[in-house]
Amino acid sequence: MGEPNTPLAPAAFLILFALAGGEKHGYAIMREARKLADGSFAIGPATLYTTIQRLLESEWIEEVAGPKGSDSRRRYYGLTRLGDSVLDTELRRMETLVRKSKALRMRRAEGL
Amino acid sequence: MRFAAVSSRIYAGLLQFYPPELLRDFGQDMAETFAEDLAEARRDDGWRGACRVLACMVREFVCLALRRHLASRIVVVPGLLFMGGALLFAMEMLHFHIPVYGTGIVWYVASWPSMAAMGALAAMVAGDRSVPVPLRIE
Repeated sequence: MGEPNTPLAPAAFLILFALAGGEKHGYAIMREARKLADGSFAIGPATLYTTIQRLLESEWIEEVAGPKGSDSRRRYYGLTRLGDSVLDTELRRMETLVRKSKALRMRRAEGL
Repeated sequence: MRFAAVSSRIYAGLLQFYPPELLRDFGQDMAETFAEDLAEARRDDGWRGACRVLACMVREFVCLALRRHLASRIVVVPGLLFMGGALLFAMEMLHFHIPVYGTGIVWYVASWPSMAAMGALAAMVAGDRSVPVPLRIE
């Protein structure tokens, strides 16, 4: 599966973003995603693993070996090259949206 | 300790309603993540934190697991038949001025669950496939 034409779902975006900082296990991804969302999006185990399953199927993330000395029962995930590119595209889309909406608001403010 | 054990047991029970392929791949991870999340929330925020985790558990159960079952033909077909029967009954009562007492009412009321049961049977014979319902399943 390639890059999406539509904006990413919040959970998918937050998980990809959380993994941009390095490989993590499920619970660490959830904590990081919550921190990034800053309370605006509640992510629990079911949302987390449903999204992880989809991201694995899309090959945007992959299961990787954990760091040395880590708990062997935990499964670690990392971004694939495709996932990294999807995240870049989404961030660029968001930046463009913010830039355009700021410009629009400025034009409106000047017009008043 | 008891609270954590009971909560984990409830979560394990609720997990049975999630898609089997998700449980096969991540069931154990989901249960462990929930237990870890609950323990940390209680340590950091006490009962408030625990309530936040439990609220998230309920919300996810309704949004992800329950909605999936609501889209199942076995639920939708009898549900629609039951509602249809009730509507028909109300219209008949209004039209024919049927009194809300006496033996006649028993037959009318008994017709709803029997219609729903027939629907469930038909749906089971036809196979439990999902039918489109106006719900966004994320």
